[in-house]
Amino acid sequence: MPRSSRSRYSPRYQLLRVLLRDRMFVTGLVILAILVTMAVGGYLWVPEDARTRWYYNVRWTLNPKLAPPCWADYLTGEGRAPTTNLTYVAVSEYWQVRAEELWQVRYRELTSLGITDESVLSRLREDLYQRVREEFGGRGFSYFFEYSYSFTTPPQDIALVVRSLDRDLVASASAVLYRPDGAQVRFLLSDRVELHRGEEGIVKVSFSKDFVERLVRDYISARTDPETARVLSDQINYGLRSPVSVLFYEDLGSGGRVSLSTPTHGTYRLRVDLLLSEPTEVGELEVRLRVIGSCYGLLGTDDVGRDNLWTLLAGSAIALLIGLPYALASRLVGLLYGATSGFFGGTVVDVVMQRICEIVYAMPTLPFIIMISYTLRETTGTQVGIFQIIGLLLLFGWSGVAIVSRSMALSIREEPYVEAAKAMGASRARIILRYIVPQLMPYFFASVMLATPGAILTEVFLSILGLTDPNMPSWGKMISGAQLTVHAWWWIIPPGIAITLTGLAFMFLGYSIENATNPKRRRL
Amino acid sequence: MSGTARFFASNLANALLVIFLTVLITSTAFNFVHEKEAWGRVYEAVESEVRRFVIENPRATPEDIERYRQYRESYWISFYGLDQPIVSRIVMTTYRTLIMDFGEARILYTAYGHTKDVRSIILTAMGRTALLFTTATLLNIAFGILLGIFIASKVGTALDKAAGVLAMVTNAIPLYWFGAIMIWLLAYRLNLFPPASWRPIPPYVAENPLELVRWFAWHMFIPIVSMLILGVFSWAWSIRAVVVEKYSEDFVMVLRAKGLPERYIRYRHVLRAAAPPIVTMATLSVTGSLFGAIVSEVLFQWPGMGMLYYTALRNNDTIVVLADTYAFVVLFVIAKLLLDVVYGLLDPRIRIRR
Repeated sequence: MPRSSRSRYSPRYQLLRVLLRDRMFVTGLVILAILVTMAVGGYLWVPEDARTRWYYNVRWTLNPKLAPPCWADYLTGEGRAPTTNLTYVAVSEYWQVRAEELWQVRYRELTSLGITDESVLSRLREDLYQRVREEFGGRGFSYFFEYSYSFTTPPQDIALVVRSLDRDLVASASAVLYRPDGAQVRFLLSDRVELHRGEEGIVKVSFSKDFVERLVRDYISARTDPETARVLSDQINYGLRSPVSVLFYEDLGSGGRVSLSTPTHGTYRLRVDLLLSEPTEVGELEVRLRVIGSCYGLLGTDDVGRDNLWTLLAGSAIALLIGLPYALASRLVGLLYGATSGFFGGTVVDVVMQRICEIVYAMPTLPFIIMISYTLRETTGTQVGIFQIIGLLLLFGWSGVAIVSRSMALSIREEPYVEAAKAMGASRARIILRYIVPQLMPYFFASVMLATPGAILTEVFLSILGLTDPNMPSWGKMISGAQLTVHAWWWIIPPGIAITLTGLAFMFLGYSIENATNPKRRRL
Repeated sequence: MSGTARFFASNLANALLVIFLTVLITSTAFNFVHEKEAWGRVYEAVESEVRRFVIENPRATPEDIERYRQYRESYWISFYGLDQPIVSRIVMTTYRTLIMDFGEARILYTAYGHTKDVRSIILTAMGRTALLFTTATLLNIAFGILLGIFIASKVGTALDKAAGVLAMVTNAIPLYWFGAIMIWLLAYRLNLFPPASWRPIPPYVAENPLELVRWFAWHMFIPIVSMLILGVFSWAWSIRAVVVEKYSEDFVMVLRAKGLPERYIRYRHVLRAAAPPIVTMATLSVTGSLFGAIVSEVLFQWPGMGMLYYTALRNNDTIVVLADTYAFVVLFVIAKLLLDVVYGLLDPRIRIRR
């Protein structure tokens, strides 16, 4: 089989065999494959709005802030409440629940007044039900949730999430919490629901300021010593501690003291009354209770509540989208520039091209990119995104390759086969593209690999300086955000490892290609 | 002109050309920003003046007001130089930048000598950046050479391979990330060193040179050690490669055949021959660490040029951004020029070829 034997000994096949036997190359390839999987996976899995509106997104308000990952509890032995969604176990029309409640009170009043006649009572009851129904019929639902709590660190917050097509539907919401020890806590979740409205009709209903004040006044100060009460109320008022955290500790409401060390375990029942601005069917609303826990997912959250895993995955796509296209484009430009310059070696064209190249090469890239990014921000208001970063890097990035390609082209030019091509009347462009450039290809590929991490790092630099598009999720933003809160290891460690591994992978690939194609280096 | 002189002259000319061109480009960029800001200021000033004019002269006709407005407008436009053609403004800025006449900053820079004078801010910043990063680079080179020679004597062993892997890994770790972890570990967890590398120097320290060295050593410990850990292995690895290559050359065999002692061969001949490539690496390393400085200084709270960039960018202080870019270019070009000269001194072939 002449065909296969020829391909077996073809230089390309030989090169591939050498490379695949190189452990460095294979390691680099594996890391790169993981990276690409992360990027593609991130693209498919992370919702689009989280990628394009990353800086502020209503989703983040439904996540805990600065929460460690849940698996960390296995290492530290803590029992943090995970972030979960609870679906309601039962739902009924609000007027029924309300009428029932009012009747209970009324019934006690009436019996204490001595009215026990069944017919009178039932008529009064009918009356009451009729009135309540007229007032609230169809304009509200009561949802019943059950939350079984067996943790030591309470959740950061609890919120009701309502998803409906009409954003202005929800008028107000209140809730009653039935604790396992029998105590009841009543609170208005929010009187005017306009806090966090996102796209897709998500309405987050969280605690009203009124509730927080009442909690501090009625519960905490009545049950602790003044000093503890003051500290606690300060913490709650400054947003350092969520009022929710108090609800899961021992003795709340049972007349004893609030103890912030012993949690009360068991099943907490929560009734949420949702009042609507117009009559609605129960099926039109998608209601769930979001327990905004004290730990979150695989990589926790940052200080705004962004999911670090999402940022990491979306960031890997950004890193690759900046790194690879830049490396390819800059190397290509530099290669052609250098090959052309080398082909004209010694002539005026070469001297001019070389001088331009040397000057560009001697310019410090990063200060320039910073200056131009700043100019763009101040004059046009654009904050650099993927394309602008690639463009800015391209302004300078081609020069190093051009210098090397030129010197290589100079020696290739003297080869007999180039001479022969010239003698046969090949055009200049043909000689450059068909005879010189192919010889530079191994160097080209090695150089593409070695140039990629630099571009990724430039994005990180610009992000730390606050010059990049704030809505572009990236590793640099993770690092720059986490630098001030270093203890949040789940936030700062992953992007650093990602950058290190990416740099390593491309270095491995670049060096192994260089080694395989340059016999002089293989000796070492 | 001798070859040496021509070599140095051509290098110097190239460096000056680069400085001039970069300043020209940054001045152009600066003028775009400046123009936008200046128009805003002209508009504000004219509006407030016209309002005052109307209040002070209640009987002014609309024509009077219009005339007054045009008069003030032309005054402010010429005050900010907006009536000049853009080319002459760019040339003016270029000239003023080259002689470091930057004027006043927008805000007070407390960490840079509590002043608004941009020139003195820039000079302070340059000195500090040079102090931190030159120290780190010199230490890196010194330890790198020692370690590199040691590894070169163990070519092919497991230690050699491990050093190679370590060099690649430490080279890929970003400094501003590693530094953050070092700060967390050494400053917050173990409480050994201060988390901020710069503090105003108290007078009793400034008087005593010994105290001053101790003060700097203690405060600069975390950044220097971070840079050493990340830098020294890749340094050692590169030096090992050069040294191993030189060992395989014929002149070493001749020296050995002559019976010269191994130490003599290593330091007098092999290292001497390996010096030029090492200087080339130093060029790349110094310039690289200078760019790393921009971000790392913020982390280490070291008020040099990088931190200055950060502060100026946050406060939209255009003049300081321009001045800092200029400072970076100058420092970059000077470092490169110096290393080129050293390279030329070390490798005679370079001088003669030109």
